[in-house]
Amino acid sequence: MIIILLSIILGLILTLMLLPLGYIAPEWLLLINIYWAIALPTNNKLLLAFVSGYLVDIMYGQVLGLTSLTYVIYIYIILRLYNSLRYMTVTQQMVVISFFILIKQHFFVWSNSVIGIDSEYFDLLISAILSGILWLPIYCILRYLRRKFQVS
Amino acid sequence: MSSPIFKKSVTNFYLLLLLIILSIASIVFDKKYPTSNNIRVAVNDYIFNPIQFIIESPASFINTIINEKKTINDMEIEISRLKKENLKIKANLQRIDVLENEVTRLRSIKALAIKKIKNIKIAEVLQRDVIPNKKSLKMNIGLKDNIKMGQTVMGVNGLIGQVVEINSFTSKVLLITDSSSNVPAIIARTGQQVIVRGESQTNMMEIAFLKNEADVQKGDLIVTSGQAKRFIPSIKVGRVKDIVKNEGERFSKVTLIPLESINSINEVIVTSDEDGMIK
Repeated sequence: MIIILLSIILGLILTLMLLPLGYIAPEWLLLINIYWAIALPTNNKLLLAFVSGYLVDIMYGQVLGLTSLTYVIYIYIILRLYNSLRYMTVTQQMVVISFFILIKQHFFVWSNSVIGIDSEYFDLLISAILSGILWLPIYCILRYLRRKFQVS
Repeated sequence: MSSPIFKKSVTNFYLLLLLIILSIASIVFDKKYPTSNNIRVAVNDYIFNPIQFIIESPASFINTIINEKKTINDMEIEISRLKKENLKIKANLQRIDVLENEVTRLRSIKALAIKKIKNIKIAEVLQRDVIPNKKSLKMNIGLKDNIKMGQTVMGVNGLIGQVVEINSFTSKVLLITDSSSNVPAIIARTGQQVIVRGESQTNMMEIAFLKNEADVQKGDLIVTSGQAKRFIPSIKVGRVKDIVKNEGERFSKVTLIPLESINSINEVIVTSDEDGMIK
């Protein structure tokens, strides 16, 4: 559990460091959440996703609850599909996760427009592709940590 | 976890529903009462500010080492220079007092008297681009210094922006060069009221909706008008740099240069006029 929290803090640091990039920055926290959802699919991952989405909202100065809504739905889907995701190779996972994030960004844009906020569409698309590419290092690092510290 | 390979779904649908409802409630609440966000302030103060401090400490450490190199000699030279400057400025100030009286008298005919700026606080700039995709900066004063939403932030030479987010020890400023920022202003030469809008890409500003036949010249000074009670009146905003009049269109494109070097300023002045600001 401590390792999970530490990885979330690492995600926070990475997000804060890339804050000046705006919405192009990859979704570190979401990637970390996805990893833990696939590796240890338990119910509290939904809560974790909610909290980390809330933190992202506060960091970006958005309306509170927008990102946590998208994160919770995303992690729910991952928790339903974790069996099939585990049997894929990392490259396949990269493509699938990138595609899911693309869908998530559309949901984000849509819910922003319901509230009446313009969002940078192309930045969000680039962010989805970047996150897909960065799934590989995140996967390797977190898997190493999980095996070393026997997280279960 | 010893379980069969194909377990049934582990997820709890009701937990999902609960969290979705919580999120939507939080969105609605935040939309309805945008100022009463204690969670935001608390998380910013106790989680993000320490993390940011840790991230920035290597850079600031190197900066202090570089700054230490300034010898005392340099300092003495600077002090003598500043003293001379101070004398000059004091001499000029006496003339300005007279001028200001005269201007107030003239303006009172137009019922637009200058209010003296009171309540000055000086803040240091901590960081830039703190709001994603917006021209913004973060300064080192906050709730504890009685900062309020929408207060005017200016430099020595001119307007910089307005306060948009306040935490306990820091606050965020939206710059006038951001494209979502609109400043009610007047052209000082003619007294025509205009709206100055930022241009994020070029770090300049433009006058929105100025008709082709309007009287505007290169080098005209633009000052805030104080309408809508957002900005304090009569603060310099910028100078007209370029005017493009298109025959086919109703409005001409007027570009302004900000007078303050907004992207490199280190110390800003947070002010409000005698009435205090709204909100």
